[in-house]
Amino acid sequence: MGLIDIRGVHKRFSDRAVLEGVHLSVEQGTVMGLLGANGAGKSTLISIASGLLRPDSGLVMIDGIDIASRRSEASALIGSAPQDVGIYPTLSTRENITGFARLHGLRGRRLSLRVSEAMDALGLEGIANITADRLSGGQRRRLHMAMALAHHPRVLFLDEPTVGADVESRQHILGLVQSLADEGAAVLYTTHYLNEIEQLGAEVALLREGTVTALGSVADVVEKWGGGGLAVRLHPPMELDLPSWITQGEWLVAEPSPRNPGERLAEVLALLGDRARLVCDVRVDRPTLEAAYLRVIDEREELDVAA
Amino acid sequence: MLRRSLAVAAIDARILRRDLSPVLVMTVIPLVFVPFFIPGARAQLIQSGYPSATGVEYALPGLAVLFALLCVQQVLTAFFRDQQWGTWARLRVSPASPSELLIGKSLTAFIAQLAQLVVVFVGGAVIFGYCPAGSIVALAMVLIVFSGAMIGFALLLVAAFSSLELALVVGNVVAMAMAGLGGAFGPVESLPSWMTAVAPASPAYWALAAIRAISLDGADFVTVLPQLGMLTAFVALSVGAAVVLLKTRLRKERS
Repeated sequence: MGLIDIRGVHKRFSDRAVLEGVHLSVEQGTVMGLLGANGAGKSTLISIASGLLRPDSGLVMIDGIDIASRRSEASALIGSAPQDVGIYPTLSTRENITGFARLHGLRGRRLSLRVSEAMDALGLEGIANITADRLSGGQRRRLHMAMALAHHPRVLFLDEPTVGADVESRQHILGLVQSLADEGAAVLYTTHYLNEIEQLGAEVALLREGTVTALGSVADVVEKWGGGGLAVRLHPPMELDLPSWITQGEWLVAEPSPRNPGERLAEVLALLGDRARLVCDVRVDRPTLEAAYLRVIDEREELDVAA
Repeated sequence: MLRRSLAVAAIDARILRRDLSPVLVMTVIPLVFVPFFIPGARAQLIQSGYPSATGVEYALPGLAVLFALLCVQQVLTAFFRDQQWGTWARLRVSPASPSELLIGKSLTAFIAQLAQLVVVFVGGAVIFGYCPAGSIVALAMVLIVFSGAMIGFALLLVAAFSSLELALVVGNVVAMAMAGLGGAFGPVESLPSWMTAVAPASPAYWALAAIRAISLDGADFVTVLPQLGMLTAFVALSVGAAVVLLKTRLRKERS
């Protein structure tokens, strides 16, 4: 059982099913990137997991504690940064972080220490005494994040934490998420920036129409659904009848799309034999998370959920 | 439980401290208005059998109660701004329960409300020589319980309306009506009979009855117990109804 354990969660709004039996487990020390198109149910799932919404059925356990029946206990383990920035504009950076750290029971020296740590981790020390309404968008985003983690939560829910953040802020946030996971936190992270998921080396859960359609490490998901392509051009062009290769104009294209284009290149060169010296161009499309994402969320694809 | 409520109260207290101007305005304006109301109040009191009255015994409590009612605006803002600033979602996912959040936010509002009333009365004493003939302890108790009733009234508005704008409009209209019915603008006896009949429905009526009894008739704590009892009933009813409505709303928000 993971630190975050989501079991068979269903949720409907009016007559629209938003989540249809979501199962997801995030282990200690893991970042789980929750991906999906707008309206796929990511924010709804995060809201349910953090106790803001009740599921119609199913349950969410935080370190073995049912958040629906023991909300206060479970919430003490959680740090949450919702999609919309939530800060007190008339309070300073330090006061904002301190206020929420106190709500999580921190007092005295431990409170000061944790607040300083959070500011340090997100590069907020220089603006500690500036009121939040005078901060830039990126600084506000970092403050929003700092308020979620000053109490050292074991579980973090981050809903698009880098939206509107500048490059520096984004790197601060990603670096911090990584170090929190390294220290043992379980992080559920939604984003539309797929490179962040790759940078974090996260596990990936792809949501489509309220269900988890693909699950695994970035490498697994990319390997399974990331596509990739290999084509070679011969000069002069010639019609060849090679197994698993088709001719498209001047190009000889590997079919189906190879998961490892490098291996298929060796294969085609072997198949070509003497004619290999006629290869004048090679086109390699490496499998990517973006390609996997697009393939999985494409409604026409029917994919099995990986265990 | 108390620690989390105090943490919420501390956040609101800091926000209030950053911008005290709305509370200061509500505290200063009644004191500015008092001299304009004193001559009329004096004439009325002399006619009612208080020949040595200066008028401040009537004018000051009336204006204090009126502006305490209008202070409800500050309480409403304190509740609704969390939604506007996106901090409500944060508070909701914190370990604090809805009751703890409610107590914490009400606590700062209650202290600010009570402070406003106390400063108006102390200011009235220093500037206009207001000196109650009766028990100061009884007066303090009335101010404390009336402040509680005002917080209950504000909570009811928070629970009943989903937008600050609507709550403010209804709150201000009801506050003015309650102040008028309670006798803040003139003696209740001078109101039309139908108004006199409904006046006891206003907490201002009981607060002013108690304060004027203390100010003019030298009433002590025991004498004003019936009024204190009625004000306490207002607190209990309004807070109880607000809690039920807020719980229903939170349940809806979560579903």
